[in-house]
Amino acid sequence: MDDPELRSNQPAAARGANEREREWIVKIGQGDRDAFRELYLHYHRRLARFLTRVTHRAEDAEEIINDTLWVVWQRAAEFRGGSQVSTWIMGIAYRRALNMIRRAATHDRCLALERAHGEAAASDAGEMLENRQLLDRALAQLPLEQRLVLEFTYFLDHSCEEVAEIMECPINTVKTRMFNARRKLRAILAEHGFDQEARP
Amino acid sequence: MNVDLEDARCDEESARLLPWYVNGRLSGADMERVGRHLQHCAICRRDLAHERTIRGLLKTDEPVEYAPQAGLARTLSRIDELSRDAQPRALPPPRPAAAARRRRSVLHWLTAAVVLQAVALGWLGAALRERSLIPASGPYTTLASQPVQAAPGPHIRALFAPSMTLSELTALLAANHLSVLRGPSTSGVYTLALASPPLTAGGLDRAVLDLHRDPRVLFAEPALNDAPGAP
Repeated sequence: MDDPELRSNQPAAARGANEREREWIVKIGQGDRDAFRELYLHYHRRLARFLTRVTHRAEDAEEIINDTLWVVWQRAAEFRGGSQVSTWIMGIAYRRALNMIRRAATHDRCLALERAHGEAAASDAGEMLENRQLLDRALAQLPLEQRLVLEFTYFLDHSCEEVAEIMECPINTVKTRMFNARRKLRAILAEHGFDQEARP
Repeated sequence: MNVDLEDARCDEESARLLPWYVNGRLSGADMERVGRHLQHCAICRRDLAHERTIRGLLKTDEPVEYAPQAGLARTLSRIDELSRDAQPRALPPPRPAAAARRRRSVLHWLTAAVVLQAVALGWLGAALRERSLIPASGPYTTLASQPVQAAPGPHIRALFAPSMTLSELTALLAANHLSVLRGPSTSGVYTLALASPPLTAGGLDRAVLDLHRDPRVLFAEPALNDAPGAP
């Protein structure tokens, strides 16, 4: 996915960040621990937020982060720049998260759902918080692949092409998953009285 | 979803691209296409508002504590372990399995060598045994001995110390005017004769006495009725 046309939708700031990350990767490939430290701290928050949302467990998220960046250390020398650094790293994290979630089985997902329901019921905070919890409940009911497309797009702001690369699937599949996710989400939210006018 | 993708009024592709219009990650051409469509599609405009709400909610920070230092320290120590493991890889010591394989290989060669040696010894032994069964057709002479005309009459039977060298034996015999007539026998006994003058009874006793004086001579006796062919 090295087509400049596909990259044209990338903000200038993101392009600059990618160049800096490429330099880190080159140095890490040469065994530079300082560069690894920089990359680790740079990606930790982003990965932690995303993975905690996806796995519902901070400790699982932490484990995936460390595994992901460990793989980055080991394979940095093989990185040829065919994709963006962020797409490469998110792809590694995605595959690990997917494995962990599938291992965790339905039981854990049910527990997470119940927890989300309980929290929503107990909360008397503002409309936004209520909507956010409602959204989390609705997201938890989506098929995993659809939910992840939505998270990659809205939470991490990846382009359609990047999501396809991360998830190793055709671009059309991403669009279809996203379309289905939006349709189901809207139906679930409507069922639970989601207030669309309540803006974050 | 309010967007009916079958509706001819709605551009299906634009509706599918809406989420990336929201996050600003469409290419220039797609951005223009969706923008144009939104101008005359009320359904997609409503959807656009909804998607922006969803994205805004997802972007809201959750109360998650970030403690990257602990994870970083763990990962760095894992890297250190990898480096330590990789160090011997630069100068690989013989791995136990490889060493065992090498030992087994050496053992096989040693075994083969021993078997070969045993076969060779067996063949050699058989050859020697066969040769010893052949009756001696003539007198046995040492390299130092001169061809001696077998003199009739008394001879001397002598046994020398095993440590005695050939040159020492030659020198001793020469000093006593003796030469090897036959021998050594299988028991190491030599039959000696006085080269000149022919051995007489008096000369015999004197020669035996001379031999007895030498500590390297273990045994020396006159052999008066020595038969040809016997050492």
